[in-house]
Amino acid sequence: MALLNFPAIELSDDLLSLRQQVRDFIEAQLANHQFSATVDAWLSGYSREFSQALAEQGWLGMTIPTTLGGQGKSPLQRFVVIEELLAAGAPVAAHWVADRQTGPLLVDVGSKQQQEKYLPGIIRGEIYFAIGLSEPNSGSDLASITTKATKVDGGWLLNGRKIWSSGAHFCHAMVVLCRTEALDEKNRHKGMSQLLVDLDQPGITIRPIELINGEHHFNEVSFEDVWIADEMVLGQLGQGWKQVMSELAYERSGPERFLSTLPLFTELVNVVQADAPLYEDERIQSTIGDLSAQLLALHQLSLRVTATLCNGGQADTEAVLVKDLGTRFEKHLSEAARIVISKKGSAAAPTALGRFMEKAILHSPGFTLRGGTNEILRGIIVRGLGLR
Amino acid sequence: MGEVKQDYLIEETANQIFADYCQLDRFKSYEQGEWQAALWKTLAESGLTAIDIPENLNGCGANSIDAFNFLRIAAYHSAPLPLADHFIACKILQAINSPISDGFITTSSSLHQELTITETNTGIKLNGFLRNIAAARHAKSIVVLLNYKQKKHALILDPGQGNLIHGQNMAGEPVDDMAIENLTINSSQLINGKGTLEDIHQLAALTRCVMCWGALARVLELSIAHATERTQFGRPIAKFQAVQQDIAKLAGEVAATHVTVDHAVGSYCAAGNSKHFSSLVAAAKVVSCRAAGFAATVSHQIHGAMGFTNEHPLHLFTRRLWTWREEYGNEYQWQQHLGQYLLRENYPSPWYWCSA
Repeated sequence: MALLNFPAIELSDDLLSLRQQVRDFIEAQLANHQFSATVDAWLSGYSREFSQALAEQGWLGMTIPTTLGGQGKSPLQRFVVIEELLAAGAPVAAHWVADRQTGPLLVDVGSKQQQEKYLPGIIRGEIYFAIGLSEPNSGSDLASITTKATKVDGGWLLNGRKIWSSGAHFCHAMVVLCRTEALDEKNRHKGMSQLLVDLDQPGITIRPIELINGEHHFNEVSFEDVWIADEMVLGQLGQGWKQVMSELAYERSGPERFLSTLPLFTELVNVVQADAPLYEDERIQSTIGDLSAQLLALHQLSLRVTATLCNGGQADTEAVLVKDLGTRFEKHLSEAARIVISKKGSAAAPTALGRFMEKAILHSPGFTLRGGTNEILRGIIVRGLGLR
Repeated sequence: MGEVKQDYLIEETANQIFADYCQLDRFKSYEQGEWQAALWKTLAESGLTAIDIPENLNGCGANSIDAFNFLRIAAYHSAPLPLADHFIACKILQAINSPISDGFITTSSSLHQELTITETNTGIKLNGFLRNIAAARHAKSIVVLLNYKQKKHALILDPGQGNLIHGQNMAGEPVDDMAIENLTINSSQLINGKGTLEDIHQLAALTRCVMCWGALARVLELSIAHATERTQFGRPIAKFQAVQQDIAKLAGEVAATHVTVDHAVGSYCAAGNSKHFSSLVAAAKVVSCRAAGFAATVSHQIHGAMGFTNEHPLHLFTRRLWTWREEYGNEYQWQQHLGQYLLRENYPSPWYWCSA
């Protein structure tokens, strides 16, 4: 009967106690003014100090094997930690990509030399990575990329442009998907490779791309005859597409795909609890109930995807489905505060709620575009259901 | 009672029995008011009509998860019997430690009572209506909850103690009202379950969630099958992006329902009735009711005109989704209930509730 798998999971006492440790840590950090909650913190909340503080707790590089300097923990243990950080709106942007996908990618396909060069820094929260996938003419159609590396003695010369690389302006390195063979029209996925590119080299230009509200997180990174040594080819030459697909599985299966606007929800409920006319308002009560039910659904979906991965199973279709549902929920949530604000009779935003709502709404177009445009993801879902 | 089956066989047996029985002509007969006696007999003989009732009360003594699973499977097959209502009636009897005997018994939600209760020397007198009783005309008894002296009491009525008015719900299932006139009830017939009756309403709501889940899964399968088989403009309609987008969203609603309902059932089976369980039922109701409406709309759109006739099986599921989403509260009531709960409980954030 089941077309998709979402196995039930009961969290062990260890996991519950780990979760409590993270909550205690966050509370202490808040009390010491080490951060204040923000919406979309995993994109916009940069704090080197916070990343290093997490590393000190052993909460970075959690799934990296101990033999490689990591914590050797399970995906479920990592999940429990990061969902608390995201729910609290903690500033995890600096290390986010490196910890979520680059570290695991290096473990999977990296050479010993590459692992030794980058993993310790990633685990300490000191080395940050950016993603080099999309290009000005290659968004949803990733296989149409034209950034290419030409073979020279001992290495490659990289030429091209990557776009939407969040954090490239503060990152140390980037994993760049490029063509290392001429394009074969009959098999566009062939002939791509991933290169490890240190960003402080000559020939690299990083140009900021500002969002509609002027925030700078994204960048365009141009490469002009950038020298890449043979040792910096990540994994296998020509296997870039396959490697990226498995890397995307790490990127797509996480709880950031429904938690980006949770601090807004927390603030909304706190405001309502403190204000009798809002508390008694039936529409507001219903809105809170509706959103909470959806939040529960998404938490269970995301948790169960992680449980499947923990058991060595595949959850590609399920992860993409959760991303579609979760990011649409983030948008609903970003609209939810309007019902409270309209009741209070003012759209002015000097309050925390107003500030959170503004930021959430201004970021909202991105929720369903980043990590795969939702309409494209739905094509992947139906393929997983046997429709295509 | 019938022979006891091991847990993992219940699902297999149920699927087999329903797959064999549930043909289109049987549904037509059901909608014409004919009791599906052969199906009831097969289920009873397989021990499937009192799955999680303890053995000392004549049940099979299996886990409640098996009982809810059974209801989900029945809904997946659109089984032509009011099995959930029988389940709820049995749960009321279990709560007051009353043994179950053979035969179909039914219930009606306290939301559908229009009764005046007058005190007498020996008990009470009832006047008014019990409404929306599933297949009262086929039932041995009607087990309901009455609010009396500010407490819930179980009352077992014989259908002959009132006048049955036959009717049908939106799904064509037999649903009757009972007109009651000056019915004297001895106080000994009003059984106060000492708090055990408090979770019946939630359990009943949860049956609807579980049934919606079963029907939703079937509707998704039918939609995928139809889109793959139906060709227009020289290709299966599954090739059109508009159809793919709808099916992907439908899959999302089905998945959300699955995990929310499953989580509520799991909580009940692990820890029984609790405040937290009641909030999980609320969430399951909100998600499953909204999914039900969406699924009915989308699946009919995908199936085109052919799916809109009673010659096609789709309506067996969509009419039930439209019906069940209203029973024991729809999403509007449960959203508000859940919102009030969260505000009252003073969690630092809804996050703490949802991850509890």
